Amino acid sequence: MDLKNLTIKKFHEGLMGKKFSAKEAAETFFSSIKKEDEKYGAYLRLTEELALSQALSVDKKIDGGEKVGALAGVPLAVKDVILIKDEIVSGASKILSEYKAGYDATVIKNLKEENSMFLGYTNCDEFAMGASTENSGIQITKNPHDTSRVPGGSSGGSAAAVAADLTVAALGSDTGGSIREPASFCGVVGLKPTYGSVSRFGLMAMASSLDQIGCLTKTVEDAVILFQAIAGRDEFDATSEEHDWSDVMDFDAERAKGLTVGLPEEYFVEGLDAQVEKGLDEALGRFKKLGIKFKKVSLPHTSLGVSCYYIIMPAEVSSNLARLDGIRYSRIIKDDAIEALLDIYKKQKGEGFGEEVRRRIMLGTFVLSHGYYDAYYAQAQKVRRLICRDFEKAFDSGVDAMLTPVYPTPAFKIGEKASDPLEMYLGDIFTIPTSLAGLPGLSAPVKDYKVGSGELPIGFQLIGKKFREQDILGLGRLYETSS
Amino acid sequence: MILKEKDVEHLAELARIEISSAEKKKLLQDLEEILEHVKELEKVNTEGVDPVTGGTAKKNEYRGDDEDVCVSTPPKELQDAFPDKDGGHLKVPHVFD
Repeated sequence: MDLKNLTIKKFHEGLMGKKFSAKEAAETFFSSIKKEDEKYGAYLRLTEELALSQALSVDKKIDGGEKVGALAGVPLAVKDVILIKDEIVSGASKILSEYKAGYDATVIKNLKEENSMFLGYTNCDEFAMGASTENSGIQITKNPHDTSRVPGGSSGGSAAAVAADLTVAALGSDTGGSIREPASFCGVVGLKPTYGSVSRFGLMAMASSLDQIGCLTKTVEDAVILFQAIAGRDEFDATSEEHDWSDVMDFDAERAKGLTVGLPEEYFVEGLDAQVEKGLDEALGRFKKLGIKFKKVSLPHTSLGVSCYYIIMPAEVSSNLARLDGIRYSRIIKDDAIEALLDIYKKQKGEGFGEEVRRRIMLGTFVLSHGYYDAYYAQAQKVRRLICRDFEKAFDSGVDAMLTPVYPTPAFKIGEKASDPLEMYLGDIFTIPTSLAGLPGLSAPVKDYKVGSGELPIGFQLIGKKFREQDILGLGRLYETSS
Repeated sequence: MILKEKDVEHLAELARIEISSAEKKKLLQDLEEILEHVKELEKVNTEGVDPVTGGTAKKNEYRGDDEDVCVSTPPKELQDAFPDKDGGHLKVPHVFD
Protein backbone atom coordinates (compact mmCIF):
# COMPACT_ATOMS: atom_id res chain seq x y z
CA MET A 1 0.00 0.00 0.00
CA ASP A 2 1.48 3.32 -1.12
CA LEU A 3 1.23 6.08 1.48
CA LYS A 4 2.66 8.76 -0.78
CA ASN A 5 0.20 11.57 -1.43
CA LEU A 6 -2.55 9.38 0.01
CA THR A 7 -5.54 11.68 0.42
CA ILE A 8 -8.86 11.08 2.19
CA LYS A 9 -10.44 10.75 -1.23
CA LYS A 10 -7.93 8.18 -2.49
CA PHE A 11 -7.99 6.29 0.80
CA HIS A 12 -11.74 5.94 0.59
CA GLU A 13 -11.56 4.66 -2.99
CA GLY A 14 -8.84 2.18 -2.02
CA LEU A 15 -10.77 0.93 0.99
CA MET A 16 -14.02 0.58 -0.93
CA GLY A 17 -12.24 -1.06 -3.87
CA LYS A 18 -10.75 -3.61 -1.45
CA LYS A 19 -7.21 -2.61 -2.40
CA PHE A 20 -6.46 -2.68 1.34
CA SER A 21 -8.34 -3.17 4.59
CA ALA A 22 -8.44 -0.61 7.37
CA LYS A 23 -6.36 -2.98 9.48
CA GLU A 24 -3.70 -3.19 6.78
CA ALA A 25 -3.74 0.58 6.51
CA ALA A 26 -3.23 0.95 10.27
CA GLU A 27 -0.33 -1.48 10.26
CA THR A 28 1.29 0.15 7.25
CA PHE A 29 1.07 3.62 8.78
CA PHE A 30 2.42 2.51 12.14
CA SER A 31 5.36 0.70 10.60
CA SER A 32 6.09 3.74 8.43
CA ILE A 33 5.86 6.13 11.40
CA LYS A 34 8.18 3.95 13.47
CA LYS A 35 10.72 3.90 10.65
CA GLU A 36 10.47 7.47 9.34
CA ASP A 37 9.41 9.71 12.18
CA GLU A 38 12.82 9.59 13.87
CA LYS A 39 13.87 12.12 11.25
CA TYR A 40 11.03 14.56 11.96
CA GLY A 41 9.71 14.04 15.47
CA ALA A 42 6.16 14.79 14.39
CA TYR A 43 4.49 12.33 16.78
CA LEU A 44 4.60 12.37 20.56
CA ARG A 45 2.53 9.27 21.25
CA LEU A 46 0.89 6.64 19.09
CA THR A 47 -2.58 5.34 19.90
CA GLU A 48 -2.10 1.91 18.35
CA GLU A 49 -4.60 -0.02 20.41
CA LEU A 50 -7.36 2.47 19.73
CA ALA A 51 -6.52 2.69 16.02
CA LEU A 52 -6.51 -1.07 15.63
CA SER A 53 -9.89 -1.46 17.29
CA GLN A 54 -11.28 1.32 15.09
CA ALA A 55 -9.82 -0.34 11.99
CA LEU A 56 -11.28 -3.74 12.86
CA SER A 57 -14.69 -2.22 13.41
CA VAL A 58 -14.57 -0.51 10.00
CA ASP A 59 -13.47 -3.71 8.27
CA LYS A 60 -16.31 -5.57 9.96
CA LYS A 61 -18.83 -2.99 8.77
CA ILE A 62 -17.57 -3.14 5.19
CA ASP A 63 -17.49 -6.94 5.19
CA GLY A 64 -21.04 -6.95 6.50
CA GLY A 65 -22.15 -4.79 3.59
CA GLU A 66 -22.84 -1.77 5.77
CA LYS A 67 -22.59 1.62 4.10
CA VAL A 68 -19.72 3.73 5.42
CA GLY A 69 -18.83 7.37 4.83
CA ALA A 70 -15.89 9.16 3.25
CA LEU A 71 -13.95 9.27 6.52
CA ALA A 72 -14.37 5.64 7.51
CA GLY A 73 -11.05 4.10 8.46
CA VAL A 74 -9.20 7.26 7.45
CA PRO A 75 -5.99 7.60 9.51
CA LEU A 76 -5.83 10.92 11.32
CA ALA A 77 -3.22 12.55 13.55
CA VAL A 78 -4.37 14.70 16.43
CA LYS A 79 -2.64 17.73 17.93
CA ASP A 80 -1.72 17.12 21.55
CA VAL A 81 -4.29 19.58 22.86
CA ILE A 82 -7.48 17.77 21.79
CA LEU A 83 -8.93 15.20 24.17
CA ILE A 84 -9.43 11.54 23.26
CA LYS A 85 -11.01 9.62 26.12
CA ASP A 86 -8.64 7.34 28.05
CA GLU A 87 -5.55 8.51 26.15
CA ILE A 88 -2.72 10.56 27.60
CA VAL A 89 -2.90 14.08 26.23
CA SER A 90 -0.34 16.52 27.54
CA GLY A 91 -0.52 19.80 25.61
CA ALA A 92 3.14 18.97 24.84
CA SER A 93 3.79 20.08 28.41
CA LYS A 94 5.67 18.45 31.25
CA ILE A 95 2.91 19.61 33.57
CA LEU A 96 0.38 17.18 32.04
CA SER A 97 2.78 14.41 31.15
CA GLU A 98 0.58 11.79 32.79
CA TYR A 99 -2.84 13.33 32.27
CA LYS A 100 -5.41 10.95 30.84
CA ALA A 101 -8.46 12.51 29.17
CA GLY A 102 -11.74 11.71 30.88
CA TYR A 103 -13.90 12.38 27.85
CA ASP A 104 -13.85 12.89 24.07
CA ALA A 105 -13.65 16.36 22.54
CA THR A 106 -16.71 16.98 20.37
CA VAL A 107 -14.59 16.88 17.19
CA ILE A 108 -13.26 13.48 18.28
CA LYS A 109 -16.77 12.26 19.07
CA ASN A 110 -17.89 13.38 15.60
CA LEU A 111 -14.97 11.66 13.91
CA LYS A 112 -15.51 8.48 15.91
CA GLU A 113 -19.07 8.48 14.59
CA GLU A 114 -17.58 8.76 11.09
CA ASN A 115 -15.46 5.70 11.97
CA SER A 116 -12.16 7.50 11.45
CA MET A 117 -8.98 6.05 12.89
CA PHE A 118 -6.67 7.97 15.22
CA LEU A 119 -2.98 7.21 14.74
CA GLY A 120 -1.66 9.27 17.62
CA TYR A 121 -0.86 12.64 19.09
CA THR A 122 1.36 15.11 17.30
CA ASN A 123 3.84 17.56 18.76
CA CYS A 124 3.09 21.25 19.15
CA ASP A 125 4.30 24.27 21.04
CA GLU A 126 3.42 23.85 24.71
CA PHE A 127 -0.33 24.49 25.08
CA ALA A 128 -0.25 25.77 21.47
CA MET A 129 1.90 28.79 22.36
CA GLY A 130 4.38 29.43 19.62
CA ALA A 131 5.05 29.61 15.91
CA SER A 132 7.77 27.01 15.46
CA THR A 133 6.99 24.00 17.70
CA GLU A 134 10.32 24.76 19.41
CA ASN A 135 8.41 25.60 22.60
CA SER A 136 7.25 22.01 23.01
CA GLY A 137 8.08 20.73 26.48
CA ILE A 138 8.85 17.35 24.98
CA GLN A 139 10.73 17.48 21.67
CA ILE A 140 11.55 19.52 18.58
CA THR A 141 9.84 18.75 15.29
CA LYS A 142 11.68 19.24 12.01
CA ASN A 143 10.31 20.39 8.69
CA PRO A 144 10.19 17.43 6.26
CA HIS A 145 11.20 19.75 3.40
CA ASP A 146 14.42 20.76 5.20
CA THR A 147 15.18 19.18 8.55
CA SER A 148 17.34 22.12 9.63
CA ARG A 149 14.19 24.24 9.62
CA VAL A 150 11.11 24.49 11.81
CA PRO A 151 7.76 23.07 10.63
CA GLY A 152 6.04 26.19 11.90
CA GLY A 153 3.71 26.18 14.85
CA SER A 154 2.00 25.67 16.96
CA SER A 155 0.42 22.75 15.02
CA GLY A 156 3.89 21.85 13.68
CA GLY A 157 3.70 18.12 14.37
CA SER A 158 0.38 17.82 12.55
CA ALA A 159 1.68 19.75 9.52
CA ALA A 160 4.92 17.74 9.41
CA ALA A 161 3.06 14.42 9.70
CA VAL A 162 0.80 15.34 6.76
CA ALA A 163 3.72 16.61 4.64
CA ALA A 164 5.80 13.49 5.33
CA ASP A 165 2.87 11.18 4.48
CA LEU A 166 2.87 9.83 8.03
CA THR A 167 -0.87 10.38 8.20
CA VAL A 168 -3.62 11.07 5.70
CA ALA A 169 -4.77 14.24 7.46
CA ALA A 170 -4.58 15.88 10.87
CA LEU A 171 -6.42 18.02 13.36
CA GLY A 172 -4.85 21.20 14.64
CA SER A 173 -5.87 24.33 16.48
CA ASP A 174 -5.35 27.94 15.51
CA THR A 175 -5.39 30.94 17.85
CA GLY A 176 -3.27 33.45 15.94
CA GLY A 177 -2.09 31.40 12.96
CA SER A 178 -1.22 28.02 14.44
CA ILE A 179 -2.78 26.00 11.61
CA ARG A 180 -2.12 28.36 8.70
CA GLU A 181 1.54 29.11 9.32
CA PRO A 182 2.71 25.48 9.73
CA ALA A 183 0.60 24.53 6.70
CA SER A 184 2.45 27.18 4.68
CA PHE A 185 5.88 26.09 5.99
CA CYS A 186 5.22 22.41 5.27
CA GLY A 187 3.46 22.78 1.91
CA VAL A 188 0.07 21.45 3.01
CA VAL A 189 -3.45 22.84 3.24
CA GLY A 190 -4.60 24.35 6.56
CA LEU A 191 -8.08 25.59 7.40
CA LYS A 192 -8.85 27.79 10.38
CA PRO A 193 -12.65 27.93 10.46
CA THR A 194 -14.77 30.91 11.53
CA TYR A 195 -14.90 31.35 15.30
CA GLY A 196 -17.99 29.34 16.23
CA SER A 197 -17.97 26.95 13.24
CA VAL A 198 -16.36 24.12 15.18
CA SER A 199 -16.94 23.21 18.82
CA ARG A 200 -14.06 23.90 21.19
CA PHE A 201 -15.35 21.41 23.76
CA GLY A 202 -12.43 19.17 24.69
CA LEU A 203 -9.78 21.49 23.29
CA MET A 204 -7.33 22.66 25.94
CA ALA A 205 -8.19 26.32 26.21
CA MET A 206 -5.44 28.78 25.43
CA ALA A 207 -7.22 32.03 24.49
CA SER A 208 -10.90 31.22 24.45
CA SER A 209 -12.07 34.18 22.35
CA LEU A 210 -9.64 33.20 19.56
CA ASP A 211 -9.12 29.41 19.65
CA GLN A 212 -10.54 27.29 16.84
CA ILE A 213 -10.03 23.67 15.88
CA GLY A 214 -9.33 23.10 12.21
CA CYS A 215 -7.67 20.70 9.83
CA LEU A 216 -4.40 20.09 8.01
CA THR A 217 -4.74 18.10 4.83
CA LYS A 218 -3.03 17.31 1.54
CA THR A 219 -5.72 18.89 -0.62
CA VAL A 220 -8.47 21.49 -0.29
CA GLU A 221 -10.91 18.75 -1.23
CA ASP A 222 -9.86 16.80 1.87
CA ALA A 223 -10.19 19.92 4.01
CA VAL A 224 -13.79 20.19 2.84
CA ILE A 225 -14.52 16.58 3.85
CA LEU A 226 -12.90 16.93 7.27
CA PHE A 227 -14.41 20.35 7.96
CA GLN A 228 -17.91 19.09 7.24
CA ALA A 229 -17.45 16.28 9.75
CA ILE A 230 -16.33 18.55 12.60
CA ALA A 231 -18.40 21.70 11.98
CA GLY A 232 -21.70 22.47 13.65
CA ARG A 233 -23.50 23.55 16.78
CA ASP A 234 -22.58 21.74 19.96
CA GLU A 235 -24.52 22.07 23.20
CA PHE A 236 -21.25 21.89 25.09
CA ASP A 237 -19.83 25.02 23.47
CA ALA A 238 -22.18 27.99 23.73
CA THR A 239 -20.18 29.92 21.11
CA SER A 240 -20.67 27.25 18.45
CA GLU A 241 -23.24 27.87 15.71
CA GLU A 242 -25.23 25.84 13.26
CA HIS A 243 -24.95 26.79 9.63
CA ASP A 244 -25.93 25.20 6.40
CA TRP A 245 -22.68 23.81 5.06
CA SER A 246 -24.26 21.84 2.21
CA ASP A 247 -22.87 24.10 -0.49
CA VAL A 248 -19.37 23.69 0.92
CA MET A 249 -19.32 20.28 -0.69
CA ASP A 250 -21.24 21.02 -3.86
CA PHE A 251 -19.10 23.97 -4.69
CA ASP A 252 -19.78 25.21 -8.14
CA ALA A 253 -16.60 26.32 -9.87
CA GLU A 254 -18.58 28.75 -12.00
CA ARG A 255 -19.80 30.47 -8.86
CA ALA A 256 -16.22 30.72 -7.57
CA LYS A 257 -15.35 32.47 -10.79
CA GLY A 258 -17.97 35.04 -10.00
CA LEU A 259 -16.33 35.99 -6.72
CA THR A 260 -14.33 39.16 -6.26
CA VAL A 261 -11.15 38.84 -4.24
CA GLY A 262 -9.63 41.75 -2.36
CA LEU A 263 -5.90 42.47 -2.18
CA PRO A 264 -5.29 44.38 1.06
CA GLU A 265 -2.48 46.83 0.40
CA GLU A 266 -1.18 46.58 3.99
CA TYR A 267 -0.30 42.92 3.40
CA PHE A 268 1.90 43.58 0.40
CA VAL A 269 4.53 45.76 1.96
CA GLU A 270 8.29 45.99 1.99
CA GLY A 271 9.98 43.40 4.11
CA LEU A 272 8.22 40.54 2.44
CA ASP A 273 10.73 37.83 1.55
CA ALA A 274 11.45 37.63 -2.21
CA GLN A 275 10.38 33.97 -2.37
CA VAL A 276 7.08 34.78 -0.68
CA GLU A 277 6.50 37.67 -3.05
CA LYS A 278 7.23 35.44 -6.03
CA GLY A 279 4.90 32.76 -4.68
CA LEU A 280 2.08 35.23 -4.17
CA ASP A 281 2.60 36.60 -7.69
CA GLU A 282 2.32 33.09 -9.07
CA ALA A 283 -0.89 32.44 -7.12
CA LEU A 284 -2.37 35.76 -8.19
CA GLY A 285 -1.51 35.10 -11.83
CA ARG A 286 -3.14 31.69 -11.73
CA PHE A 287 -6.29 33.02 -10.10
CA LYS A 288 -6.50 35.77 -12.72
CA LYS A 289 -6.15 33.22 -15.49
CA LEU A 290 -9.11 31.39 -13.97
CA GLY A 291 -11.18 34.52 -14.37
CA ILE A 292 -11.22 35.63 -10.74
CA LYS A 293 -11.64 39.38 -10.39
CA PHE A 294 -9.35 41.24 -8.02
CA LYS A 295 -9.76 44.54 -6.30
CA LYS A 296 -7.43 46.60 -4.14
CA VAL A 297 -8.71 47.12 -0.61
CA SER A 298 -7.34 48.67 2.54
CA LEU A 299 -7.25 47.29 6.09
CA PRO A 300 -5.65 50.30 7.79
CA HIS A 301 -5.23 48.83 11.29
CA THR A 302 -3.37 45.71 10.14
CA SER A 303 -0.02 46.69 11.62
CA LEU A 304 -1.58 47.00 15.10
CA GLY A 305 -2.77 43.39 15.07
CA VAL A 306 0.32 41.92 16.71
CA SER A 307 0.27 44.40 19.62
CA CYS A 308 -3.44 43.89 20.07
CA TYR A 309 -3.08 40.11 20.05
CA TYR A 310 -0.13 39.99 22.43
CA ILE A 311 -2.23 41.74 25.06
CA ILE A 312 -5.55 39.93 24.64
CA MET A 313 -4.14 36.43 24.15
CA PRO A 314 -1.82 36.42 27.23
CA ALA A 315 -4.65 37.87 29.32
CA GLU A 316 -6.82 34.89 28.41
CA VAL A 317 -3.87 32.50 28.80
CA SER A 318 -3.16 33.68 32.33
CA SER A 319 -6.76 33.00 33.25
CA ASN A 320 -7.15 29.67 31.42
CA LEU A 321 -3.90 28.10 32.62
CA ALA A 322 -4.50 29.00 36.25
CA ARG A 323 -6.41 25.73 36.55
CA LEU A 324 -3.24 23.68 36.12
CA ASP A 325 -2.41 24.20 39.76
CA GLY A 326 -1.22 20.78 40.82
CA ILE A 327 -4.45 20.06 42.63
CA ARG A 328 -6.76 18.97 39.87
CA TYR A 329 -5.30 17.64 36.63
CA SER A 330 -1.88 16.41 37.59
CA ARG A 331 0.91 16.75 40.07
CA ILE A 332 4.49 16.48 38.93
CA ILE A 333 6.33 17.69 42.01
CA LYS A 334 7.59 15.47 44.81
CA ASP A 335 5.64 15.27 48.04
CA ASP A 336 8.60 16.28 50.21
CA ALA A 337 8.70 19.70 48.53
CA ILE A 338 5.20 20.43 49.76
CA GLU A 339 4.49 22.05 53.07
CA ALA A 340 1.39 24.07 52.36
CA LEU A 341 -1.10 24.42 49.54
CA LEU A 342 0.64 27.45 48.10
CA ASP A 343 3.84 25.42 47.64
CA ILE A 344 2.01 23.09 45.26
CA TYR A 345 0.78 25.95 43.09
CA LYS A 346 4.12 27.69 42.86
CA LYS A 347 6.37 24.71 42.43
CA GLN A 348 4.03 22.91 40.06
CA LYS A 349 3.85 25.91 37.73
CA GLY A 350 7.48 26.85 38.20
CA GLU A 351 8.70 23.39 37.25
CA GLY A 352 5.95 22.28 34.92
CA PHE A 353 5.52 25.21 32.54
CA GLY A 354 8.15 26.03 29.93
CA GLU A 355 9.67 29.45 29.39
CA GLU A 356 7.21 30.75 26.78
CA VAL A 357 4.16 29.67 28.76
CA ARG A 358 5.51 31.34 31.90
CA ARG A 359 6.27 34.49 29.89
CA ARG A 360 2.72 34.69 28.55
CA ILE A 361 1.15 34.01 31.96
CA MET A 362 3.25 36.81 33.47
CA LEU A 363 2.42 39.17 30.63
CA GLY A 364 -1.28 38.38 30.95
CA THR A 365 -1.18 38.80 34.71
CA PHE A 366 0.38 42.23 34.19
CA VAL A 367 -2.10 43.55 31.61
CA LEU A 368 -5.01 42.46 33.79
CA SER A 369 -3.55 43.80 37.02
CA HIS A 370 -4.91 46.70 39.00
CA GLY A 371 -4.07 50.07 37.47
CA TYR A 372 -3.04 48.67 34.07
CA TYR A 373 -6.24 47.04 32.85
CA ASP A 374 -7.64 50.08 31.02
CA ALA A 375 -4.35 51.13 29.48
CA TYR A 376 -3.60 47.69 28.05
CA TYR A 377 -6.47 45.22 27.97
CA ALA A 378 -9.40 47.58 27.45
CA GLN A 379 -7.51 49.60 24.83
CA ALA A 380 -6.51 46.40 22.99
CA GLN A 381 -10.16 45.28 22.88
CA LYS A 382 -11.09 48.64 21.31
CA VAL A 383 -8.34 48.37 18.71
CA ARG A 384 -9.61 44.86 18.05
CA ARG A 385 -12.97 46.43 17.20
CA LEU A 386 -11.23 48.72 14.70
CA ILE A 387 -9.57 45.70 13.10
CA CYS A 388 -12.97 43.96 12.84
CA ARG A 389 -14.45 47.08 11.24
CA ASP A 390 -11.62 47.21 8.68
CA PHE A 391 -12.69 43.79 7.44
CA GLU A 392 -16.39 44.67 7.50
CA LYS A 393 -15.80 47.78 5.41
CA ALA A 394 -13.63 45.92 2.92
CA PHE A 395 -16.22 43.15 2.54
CA ASP A 396 -18.97 45.74 2.21
CA SER A 397 -17.11 47.32 -0.68
CA GLY A 398 -18.00 44.32 -2.81
CA VAL A 399 -15.28 41.86 -1.94
CA ASP A 400 -16.09 38.20 -1.15
CA ALA A 401 -12.69 37.06 0.09
CA MET A 402 -9.11 38.32 0.35
CA LEU A 403 -5.80 36.97 -0.87
CA THR A 404 -2.73 37.58 1.29
CA PRO A 405 0.58 36.03 2.28
CA VAL A 406 0.51 33.67 5.27
CA TYR A 407 3.91 34.52 6.70
CA PRO A 408 6.58 37.06 5.71
CA THR A 409 9.19 34.33 5.03
CA PRO A 410 9.43 30.63 4.22
CA ALA A 411 10.25 28.24 7.12
CA PHE A 412 13.10 29.62 9.21
CA LYS A 413 16.02 27.76 10.76
CA ILE A 414 15.64 25.90 14.05
CA GLY A 415 16.99 28.21 16.75
CA GLU A 416 16.96 31.31 14.53
CA LYS A 417 14.32 33.18 16.50
CA ALA A 418 14.25 31.14 19.69
CA SER A 419 16.01 33.71 21.88
CA ASP A 420 13.98 36.72 20.82
CA PRO A 421 10.29 36.36 21.66
CA LEU A 422 9.27 39.69 20.15
CA GLU A 423 10.82 38.84 16.79
CA MET A 424 8.94 35.55 16.85
CA TYR A 425 5.67 37.37 17.64
CA LEU A 426 6.08 39.89 14.81
CA GLY A 427 6.03 37.09 12.25
CA ASP A 428 2.34 36.50 12.99
CA ILE A 429 1.35 39.80 11.38
CA PHE A 430 -0.63 38.28 8.47
CA THR A 431 -2.53 35.61 10.39
CA ILE A 432 -3.43 37.48 13.59
CA PRO A 433 -5.98 40.02 12.23
CA THR A 434 -8.14 37.19 10.82
CA SER A 435 -8.17 35.57 14.26
CA LEU A 436 -8.96 38.80 16.09
CA ALA A 437 -11.94 39.29 13.77
CA GLY A 438 -13.03 35.65 14.06
CA LEU A 439 -12.92 35.12 10.28
CA PRO A 440 -12.10 31.90 8.43
CA GLY A 441 -8.66 31.58 6.86
CA LEU A 442 -7.32 29.00 4.43
CA SER A 443 -3.62 28.47 3.84
CA ALA A 444 -2.88 26.58 0.63
CA PRO A 445 0.42 25.83 -1.10
CA VAL A 446 1.21 27.93 -4.19
CA LYS A 447 2.12 24.71 -5.99
CA ASP A 448 2.80 21.07 -5.32
CA TYR A 449 5.99 20.94 -3.23
CA LYS A 450 7.63 17.54 -3.14
CA VAL A 451 9.51 16.49 -0.01
CA GLY A 452 13.10 15.96 -1.10
CA SER A 453 13.06 18.54 -3.90
CA GLY A 454 14.89 21.00 -1.65
CA GLU A 455 12.42 23.74 -2.45
CA LEU A 456 10.87 25.52 0.54
CA PRO A 457 7.07 25.69 0.36
CA ILE A 458 5.18 28.98 0.20
CA GLY A 459 1.50 29.26 0.99
CA PHE A 460 -1.10 31.86 0.23
CA GLN A 461 -3.94 32.81 2.55
CA LEU A 462 -7.57 33.26 1.59
CA ILE A 463 -9.62 35.12 4.18
CA GLY A 464 -13.39 34.78 4.02
CA LYS A 465 -16.46 36.36 5.50
CA LYS A 466 -17.83 34.92 8.74
CA PHE A 467 -19.33 31.46 8.20
CA ARG A 468 -18.50 31.65 4.49
CA GLU A 469 -15.95 28.84 4.51
CA GLN A 470 -17.47 27.75 1.21
CA ASP A 471 -16.03 30.82 -0.56
CA ILE A 472 -12.43 30.30 0.46
CA LEU A 473 -12.62 26.52 0.14
CA GLY A 474 -14.24 26.92 -3.27
CA LEU A 475 -11.54 29.30 -4.47
CA GLY A 476 -8.88 27.00 -3.04
CA ARG A 477 -10.40 23.99 -4.75
CA LEU A 478 -10.65 25.84 -8.05
CA TYR A 479 -6.96 26.76 -7.75
CA GLU A 480 -5.97 23.22 -6.84
CA THR A 481 -7.76 21.65 -9.79
CA SER A 482 -6.37 24.15 -12.27
CA SER A 483 -2.77 22.96 -11.99
CA MET B 1 11.20 51.39 32.10
CA ILE B 2 7.67 50.12 32.58
CA LEU B 3 8.60 47.34 35.00
CA LYS B 4 11.10 46.91 37.80
CA GLU B 5 12.48 43.70 39.21
CA LYS B 6 10.17 43.88 42.20
CA ASP B 7 7.17 44.15 39.83
CA VAL B 8 8.21 40.88 38.25
CA GLU B 9 8.38 39.32 41.71
CA HIS B 10 4.92 40.65 42.47
CA LEU B 11 3.50 39.30 39.19
CA ALA B 12 5.06 35.90 39.86
CA GLU B 13 3.40 35.94 43.26
CA LEU B 14 0.03 36.83 41.70
CA ALA B 15 0.42 34.14 39.04
CA ARG B 16 1.58 31.61 41.65
CA ILE B 17 4.72 30.74 39.72
CA GLU B 18 8.06 30.13 41.33
CA ILE B 19 10.84 31.75 39.32
CA SER B 20 14.59 31.76 39.85
CA SER B 21 16.55 35.00 40.17
CA ALA B 22 18.28 34.36 36.84
CA GLU B 23 14.90 33.96 35.18
CA LYS B 24 13.64 37.09 36.85
CA LYS B 25 16.19 39.16 34.94
CA LYS B 26 15.45 37.50 31.62
CA LEU B 27 11.69 37.86 32.18
CA LEU B 28 12.08 41.51 33.05
CA GLN B 29 14.01 42.10 29.83
CA ASP B 30 11.52 40.14 27.68
CA LEU B 31 8.41 41.71 29.23
CA GLU B 32 9.93 45.16 28.93
CA GLU B 33 10.65 44.64 25.23
CA ILE B 34 7.14 43.36 24.53
CA LEU B 35 5.45 46.11 26.55
CA GLU B 36 7.52 48.78 24.80
CA HIS B 37 6.27 47.40 21.49
CA VAL B 38 2.59 47.18 22.40
CA LYS B 39 2.73 50.76 23.65
CA GLU B 40 1.95 51.74 20.06
CA LEU B 41 -1.71 51.10 20.90
CA GLU B 42 -1.70 54.08 23.26
CA LYS B 43 -1.58 56.42 20.28
CA VAL B 44 -4.65 54.99 18.58
CA ASN B 45 -7.73 57.15 18.93
CA THR B 46 -10.44 54.85 20.27
CA GLU B 47 -12.84 57.44 21.53
CA GLY B 48 -16.39 56.16 21.26
CA VAL B 49 -15.27 52.71 20.12
CA ASP B 50 -16.94 49.88 22.02
CA PRO B 51 -14.52 47.17 23.03
CA VAL B 52 -14.82 43.63 21.72
CA THR B 53 -15.87 41.37 24.57
CA GLY B 54 -15.24 37.94 23.13
CA GLY B 55 -14.99 35.88 19.99
CA THR B 56 -18.71 35.68 19.34
CA ALA B 57 -21.44 38.21 18.65
CA LYS B 58 -23.99 35.98 20.34
CA LYS B 59 -25.74 37.24 23.44
CA ASN B 60 -26.71 35.15 26.44
CA GLU B 61 -27.00 31.49 25.66
CA TYR B 62 -29.05 29.11 27.71
CA ARG B 63 -29.24 25.40 27.43
CA GLY B 64 -31.90 23.07 28.57
CA ASP B 65 -31.55 21.20 31.82
CA ASP B 66 -31.53 17.92 29.95
CA GLU B 67 -29.75 14.75 30.69
CA ASP B 68 -28.29 14.50 27.20
CA VAL B 69 -26.43 17.79 27.48
CA CYS B 70 -24.21 16.86 30.36
CA VAL B 71 -21.11 14.76 30.47
CA SER B 72 -21.66 11.99 32.95
CA THR B 73 -18.56 10.55 34.55
CA PRO B 74 -18.64 7.83 37.19
CA PRO B 75 -17.39 9.12 40.58
CA LYS B 76 -14.63 6.52 40.63
CA GLU B 77 -13.17 7.86 37.37
CA LEU B 78 -13.23 11.40 38.70
CA GLN B 79 -11.45 10.29 41.86
CA ASP B 80 -8.87 8.42 39.81
CA ALA B 81 -8.13 11.58 37.86
CA PHE B 82 -7.20 13.40 41.07
CA PRO B 83 -3.51 13.40 41.94
CA ASP B 84 -3.75 12.72 45.67
CA LYS B 85 -6.44 10.70 47.38
CA ASP B 86 -7.17 8.51 50.35
CA GLY B 87 -9.97 6.00 49.93
CA GLY B 88 -12.90 7.95 48.57
CA HIS B 89 -11.47 11.27 49.76
CA LEU B 90 -9.48 13.81 47.76
CA LYS B 91 -6.43 15.06 49.61
CA VAL B 92 -4.90 18.53 49.70
CA PRO B 93 -2.35 19.91 52.13
CA HIS B 94 -3.38 22.39 54.80
CA VAL B 95 -4.38 25.81 53.55
CA PHE B 96 -3.42 27.88 56.61
CA ASP B 97 -0.21 27.81 58.57
